[in-house]
Amino acid sequence: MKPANTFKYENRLAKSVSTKGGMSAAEALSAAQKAVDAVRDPTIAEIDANLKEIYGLGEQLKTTNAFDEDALQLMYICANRVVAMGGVFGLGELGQAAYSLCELVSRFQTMERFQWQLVQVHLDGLRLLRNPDDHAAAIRDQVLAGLRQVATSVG
Amino acid sequence: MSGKPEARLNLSKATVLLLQNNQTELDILGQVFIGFGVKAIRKCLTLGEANDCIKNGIMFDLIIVDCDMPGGVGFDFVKGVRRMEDNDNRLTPIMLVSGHTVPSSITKARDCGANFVVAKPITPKTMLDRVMWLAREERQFVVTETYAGPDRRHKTFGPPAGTKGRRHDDVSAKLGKASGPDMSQSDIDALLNPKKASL
Repeated sequence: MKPANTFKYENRLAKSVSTKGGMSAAEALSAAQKAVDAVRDPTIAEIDANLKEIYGLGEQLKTTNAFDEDALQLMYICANRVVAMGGVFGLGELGQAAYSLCELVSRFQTMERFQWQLVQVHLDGLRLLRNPDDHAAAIRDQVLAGLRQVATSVG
Repeated sequence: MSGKPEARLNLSKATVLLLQNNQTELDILGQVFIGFGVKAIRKCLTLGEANDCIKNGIMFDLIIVDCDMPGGVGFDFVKGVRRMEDNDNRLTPIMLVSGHTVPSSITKARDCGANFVVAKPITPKTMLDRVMWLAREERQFVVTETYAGPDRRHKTFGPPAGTKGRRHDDVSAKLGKASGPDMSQSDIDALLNPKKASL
């Protein structure tokens, strides 16, 4: 095996960041939050579209009540998008529930098994956490803890 | 007034490449960097677009790649960039962003040559922390037959016990005999408790 070639190199980002002028971290954060807020509405719409697709796939899986590779993969992709977007606009707990659903589906895929009830409880959790202000924080925490327990019980 | 002055950052001249296969996520990430003052942002939804940007002579200061692209193509993209010997973008800091990661992707993320992985959701705070962390990056670049990218070791513990190591600066963890006189206690104290020079 050839020896490793190890060398130092110029960090272009460091050079760029440290040039004179610019803004403080607080200014950068404030400006970035303002810029991100400009895409709030389309992002919330996208989250809801993905949730709708997840619920639709749930109905499909309920009917067949069997391991359906394609439907599970699509559900995984949609849930992973909710993971990515939920926490940006105050729906962090929804994102965590979606992460738990991803974990559950991933475990189903690895083991090629399926159990509808475990999916159903996740869909109920997503519905509840989509409107977090309607529920006390303690209840939301319990829901998330329960979902994590359900997901990790597989395998 | 006390305390040190707040750190400043200037990304107005930085060029950033974003590769995400979902338009909404790409827009969020783009907005974060617009807020940070970046004027040159290349937003790519496909691997082809990103490859064109890299090969068209644009020099990037930062590349951000989505781990969640179908078929793990994000990892392949990073691996490809790191192996472009005639393209200086191979040394550009690369950050992976990841939602849920299936077990098979964890080793791919580790071995593709990215500087590190950031968990989604990407908020301005998370991204700023990571950008500043990357700007302080001092790890060396390593090229081997199986890996090209920043040194994956954040701390050097030496090669595994019983092996010689493959790098010229690998030092065995086994201590040999002393090669010189012991340091005096005052030398040791000076190392552990450095004082400002008073003129």
